[in-house]
This record gives sequence, C-alpha cells and structure tokens, in this order.
Amino acid sequence: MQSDPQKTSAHSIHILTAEMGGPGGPAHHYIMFRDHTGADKVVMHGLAIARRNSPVRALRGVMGQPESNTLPNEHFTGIAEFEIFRGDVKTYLQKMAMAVEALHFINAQNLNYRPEDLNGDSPNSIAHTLVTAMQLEFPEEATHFWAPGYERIILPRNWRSAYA
Amino acid sequence: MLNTQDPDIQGYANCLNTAPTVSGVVLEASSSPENTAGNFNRDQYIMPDASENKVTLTPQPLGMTMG
Repeated sequence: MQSDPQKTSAHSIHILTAEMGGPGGPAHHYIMFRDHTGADKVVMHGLAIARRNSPVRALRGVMGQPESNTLPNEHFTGIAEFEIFRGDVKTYLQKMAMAVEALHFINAQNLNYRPEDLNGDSPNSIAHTLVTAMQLEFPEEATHFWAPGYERIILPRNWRSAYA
Repeated sequence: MLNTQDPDIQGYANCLNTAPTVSGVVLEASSSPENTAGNFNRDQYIMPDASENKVTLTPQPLGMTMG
C-alpha cells in the first residue's frame, strides 16, 4: 500500500497518554511535536515541583527536547496517542509559539499542585490548556482515561494569543 | 521549504527561544512561596460532558495571582 505523501510530509502535534503506576492508575497527558519525518522534536508537559519552604508543590509547564524530558519508565507506561494537528511547518511553528505563550502564563500563576484534589489543577490541566491555546480540539477519546484535572483550562476568559 | 526570512517565522522562533525549560522552572518554582492568593478569572472551559466532576469556580479579580 502506498502512503499518502501529503500526510507523511507534514508536521504534526500529538497528545500522548501514559499510565502512572500500572494498569488502572491515573493517566498523564502531555504534548509531542513531530517533524515531517515523524521524529519527536519537542515535548511540552506539566510538572509538580517541590517547594523549598512549603509542603505544597508547585505546578509548572515546560518545553524541551524529548530526550531530556522522558518520563521515568518505572512509573509511566505509554498507552495511547492522538494526533491533534497535521499541516505545514509555518502553522506548526505558529501553534508551538501559541503553546509557549500559554506556558508562560501558566507558570506566572504560581499554581499549587494538590494531588488529593482530583478536580484541581494538574499536569493534565496543562496538557489540555496547551491544546486550547493552540486552538485545537482535545480529542474525545483522550477523555476516556482517568486523568485527574484534565477538565481545567488554565487560561483567563479573555485569553488572546499574540500569534493567532 | 521553510523561509527563515519570513517575519512570522522569525517571530515564532523568538517566542520559542524563551520557552520555559525544566532546569529553569525547577529553580524558580522550588524557591517560590505557596500560592495563597487565589486564582485568576476562569470558569467557562469546564468540559460539557464532565458534569459528574463539575466544579464551580468562583471568579476572582485579576492581578491576585502572583505568589
């Protein structure tokens, strides 16, 4: 079967889902950017970071190379991925810039991460927020996982991207 | 072909160069105090099919968010 050259030559953005601590554990969503060859180029995800002077951890979003942001294998098992964008490189970079812009906003809020609050902000909230910031759709299939906090969008009502 | 002289492309590249990194964020977040100031104004993005988990967020004035 021949592959569709239009499809294989385009850049793409994906939601990756990993399960924490084995089957049935909570899911962790994060975002992967792939180039026209299908290679992983950039990853964006949420992190819970210990604070020096408080037991309440901080929630932050980061961007980096996939190799430097690999989730620890002993705790995370990749279980699904969903393509949410495929297109030309210029639009791909535009989406990436829109996501970076949202990362800065998220981090400026200095949010708390409280895992016991299943409706609170979490790394899953950051993944969903980045999808929204890129003006893409969060795939319905990705909502089937138990991913605490994924409903929460960390953007104000009047959010407007400078890159839209 | 990517036109690196394209002003849009240059603008995106400038933005991407400012992206938060793991090391930078860990350093900044670890020394930040707990956020006790509330939150910014948001309430409309709850997924419509998440009624079981729906939470009511109380809008807060903007500008109360920095810890």
